[in-house]
Amino acid sequence: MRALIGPLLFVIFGWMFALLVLHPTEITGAERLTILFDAEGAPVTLPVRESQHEAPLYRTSVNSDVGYSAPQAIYIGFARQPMQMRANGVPLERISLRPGADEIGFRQAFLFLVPEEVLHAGGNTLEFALKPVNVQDRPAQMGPKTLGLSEIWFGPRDQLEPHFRTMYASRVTLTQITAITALLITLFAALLWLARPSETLYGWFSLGVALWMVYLLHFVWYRAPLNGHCWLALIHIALAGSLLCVQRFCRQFLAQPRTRLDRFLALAALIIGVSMVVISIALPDTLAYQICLNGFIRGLLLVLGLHLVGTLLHAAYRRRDAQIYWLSAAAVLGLSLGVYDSAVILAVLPASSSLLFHLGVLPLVVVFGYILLQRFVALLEAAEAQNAVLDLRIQQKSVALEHEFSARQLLERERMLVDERHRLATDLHDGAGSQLVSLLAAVRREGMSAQQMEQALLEAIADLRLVMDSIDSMGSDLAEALGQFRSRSEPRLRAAGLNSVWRTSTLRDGLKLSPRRTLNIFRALQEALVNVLKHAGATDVQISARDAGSVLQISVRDNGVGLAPELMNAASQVPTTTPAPNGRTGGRGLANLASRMKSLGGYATFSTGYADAERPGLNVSLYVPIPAENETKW
Amino acid sequence: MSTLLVEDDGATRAYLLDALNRISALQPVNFAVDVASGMRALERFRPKLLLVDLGLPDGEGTQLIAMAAKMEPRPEVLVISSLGDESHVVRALEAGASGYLLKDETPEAIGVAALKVLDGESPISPAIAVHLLKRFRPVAAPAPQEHPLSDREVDILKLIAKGLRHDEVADTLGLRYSTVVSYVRDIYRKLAVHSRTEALFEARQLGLLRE
Repeated sequence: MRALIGPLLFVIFGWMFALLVLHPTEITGAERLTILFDAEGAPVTLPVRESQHEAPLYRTSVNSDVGYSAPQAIYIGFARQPMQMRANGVPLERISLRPGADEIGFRQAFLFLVPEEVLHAGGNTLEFALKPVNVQDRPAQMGPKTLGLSEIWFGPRDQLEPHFRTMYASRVTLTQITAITALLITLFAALLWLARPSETLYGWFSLGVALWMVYLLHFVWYRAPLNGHCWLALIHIALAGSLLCVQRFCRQFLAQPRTRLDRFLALAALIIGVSMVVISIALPDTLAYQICLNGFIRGLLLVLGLHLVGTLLHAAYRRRDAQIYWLSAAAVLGLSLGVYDSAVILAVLPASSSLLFHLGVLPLVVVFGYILLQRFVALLEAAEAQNAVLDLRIQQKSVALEHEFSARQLLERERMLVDERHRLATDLHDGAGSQLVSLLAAVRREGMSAQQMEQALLEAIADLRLVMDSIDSMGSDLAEALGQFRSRSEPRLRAAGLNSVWRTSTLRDGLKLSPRRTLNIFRALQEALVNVLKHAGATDVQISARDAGSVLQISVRDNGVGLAPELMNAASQVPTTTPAPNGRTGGRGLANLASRMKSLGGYATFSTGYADAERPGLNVSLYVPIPAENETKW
Repeated sequence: MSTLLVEDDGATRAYLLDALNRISALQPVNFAVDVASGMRALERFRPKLLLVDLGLPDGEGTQLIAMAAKMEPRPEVLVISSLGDESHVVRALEAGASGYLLKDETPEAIGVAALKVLDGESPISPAIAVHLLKRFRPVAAPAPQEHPLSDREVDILKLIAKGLRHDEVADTLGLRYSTVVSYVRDIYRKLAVHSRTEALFEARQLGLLRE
C-alpha cells in the first residue's frame, strides 16, 4: 500500500501544477471588455469560441473622464487568429516574445501596448483587425472564417504585462521544455534499444515519444508543412500512433502478450488514419472531414487512452508492483489531461483555459526515466550481490585449497622425513655400522693389532663423515660437496704418502644432486680411493670431475700397478675378486663401486691410467646421469 | 707462551695433551674440564692459546670463547671439533674463535694446526666456507649488512667451498699465499662482528634494547 502513495501524490501534484501554473489567474486593476461591434454595429459577446463571424474589423471603446497618464495595454488571453489593433486610428505595437511566430497565433496570448499620448479623456476607439490567413498555412477550423477570442482586458501596462508573461511562459515555454525533454528521452531510449536490440520495449517507447513529439510540433511550430487539413489529420494520427506504441511498450514491460483488443485497436487506428488522410486531401472543409476529425479521431484517442490506462491499472491491481503504479499514475494523469482538454474544447470550461494534453507526455517520460533508473540500480545491486557471492565462493574455495595444500605439504614432509630416516638408517647400517660390527667380530675372534684397529676405525669414521656430509650437502652445489669430500680425503691420502691432484672445482654452479645420489658418489669415490691406497702402490692420484650436459663424469686415475686387462674389458662389467695373473685383483671395493653406479642409473669404466708398461695405473671413471630437474628430494 | 685445553672427555683430553706436549712452543699446557674451571684457568694462566670443546658438562664452550675475546692480550682460540659439526664451529667462530681442530687428526696435524693459528693462520674447510657464504648472504636480509664481505672475500670463500687449498686459491686469484691467509682471518673477524650486529639488531627488533 505504501508503494501507492508516491504515484498518487504524483497525480495530485501533477494536477496542482497544471491548475496553479497553467490556469489563468484573475486579473485585477483592469477593465474587462466583453462586447465588440462589427462593421455593421452588430454586437459580439466575448468570449467567442468558434463563430462564423467573418468581419475583418471589430471595434469597441473605452472611456476615461480624466484621460491617461501612464502607458496602457490590451491583453487578450487567447485568440485563434493573428490580429492587428488600432487605438483612435493609431496602430498599436504588439509585444512579441517569439520572433517569427507573430503571424499566426494558436491559442496564444496577445499584449498590445497603448501609449498614453494616443488616448484622451472621454471615449477612445479600439479597433481589432483580423488578419486574413492563407488557408494553406492553417487548418480549416482555425481559418479566417471563424472567430475565436477570449475576454479582452484593457488597463495599465504595469498590471497586464506580468500576467501576459506568466501566461506566455506557462503555455509556450513549458511546451518547449516538454518537447526538449521528450526529444532527449526519445534519443536515450533509441540508443538503449540500439545497444540492446533484443529489448524492443525501448524501441517502442522511443517511437511512442517520437510520435508524440510530432503532435507537440503542432504547439510549437505554427506554420504547417503540408496542406493544413492534412497536417491536422496527421498530427492526430501521430498521437494515436504514439498511444499505440506506448501500449505496446506497456505490454512488453508487463511481459504480457498482445491481446485481440490490442490488435483490433491497432487495425482500427490504421483504417481511421488512412481514411482520415484521404478525406483531408479529397474532401477538406466538408462536414465529413469535421466528423472524422472530431468524431472518429477523438473517439479513437479516447478509446486508446482508456485501453492503456485500463491495461496498466489492471496489471497494477493484479501485481501490486511499484513500477506499474508509477506507469499507471502517468497514464491516468495523461488521460485526465486529455479529458480536461476535451472539456475546454467542448466549452465546458472557460475558453481562456490552457490546453494541457500535449504536456501529458512529460509525466510519462519522467516515470520512464525513473523506472530506467530503478532498473539500472537494481541491476547494479544484483551485480554487486553476485560479485559478493562469487568473492565468498572464491574465498571459501581458496581456504579449502589452502587447507588441502597444507595437509598435502604436511603429508609430503612426513613422507620425506620417513624417507630420510630410512635412508640414514640404511646408510649408517651399510657403512659405519657394518664396519664397526665386523671390526668387533674380528677383535673378538682373533684380536687385532692396534694399527689394524686404527685403520678400521678410521674407515668407519670416514664413512660416518660421508653420511653426514651428504646430509650437509643439501642445498649445496656438487662442486661444493666434492670440495667437502676432498677436505676429508686429502689428509688421509697425504698421510699415506700419496700425492693427490683435484680437478673438481670446475663443475658448473647450480648443479645440485640429491643427498642419496651425492652419498653414492661419495662412497664410490671413497671405494676408488681406498682401492688406490690399498692395492695400487701409486705415488700420484688425480681426481677430476666434469659435467657434459646430462652426464656427470668423475675419474680417479692413479699411476699404480693397474688392473688385470681382462678385468677392464667391458665398461659396465663388474670386476670380480678373481686374482689377476699380472696385476692387482679387482677387489670387493671396485665391485661395490660398479654396482653402486648401476643403482644410480650410471656405470663405471676401468681403463689404463697411463701408457707406461711398468706402471700402467688405473683410471676409474664414474658416469652418473644428472636428472633434468635438479634434485631436491632424497 | 702458555696453552689452555678445556675438554671434558678424559681420553680425548689425554690424546690432545699428548699431542700438544710434543711442541715446546706451546708449553706449558694447562687443562680444565668444564666452563667454571675453564674460566678460572683463563683468569689465572692468561694463555696465549685456548683449545676448547663446545659441549661441556656445565655449559657451552662459547662462553669461554666470549670471555677470551674480551681479554687483553687476546688468546687465540681453537675449537675442538668432532665429526661433521661445522655448524657448531661456525657458532664458535661467531663467538670469536680463530679456528678449529679435529679430534681425530693425528698428533702431528694437531700440533701443526696449533702452531699455525699462533702464526695467524686460520684453518678453514669447504663446509665452513659454505656456511659462511650462507651466513653473510641470508635469503631475506633481516639485519643491516654492516659488515658485508667484499667481492674478493666472497670469491675466496667460493673457491674454498669447492675444496681448493689456500695455495690453489692464491694461484687461481693471482694472490700471494699470505694474502689468502689474512683474508680468511678477516672473514672470521667479520663473522664475529657480523654476529654481534645481528644480535643487536634482533634485540632491537624484540624491544630488548632502546635505540
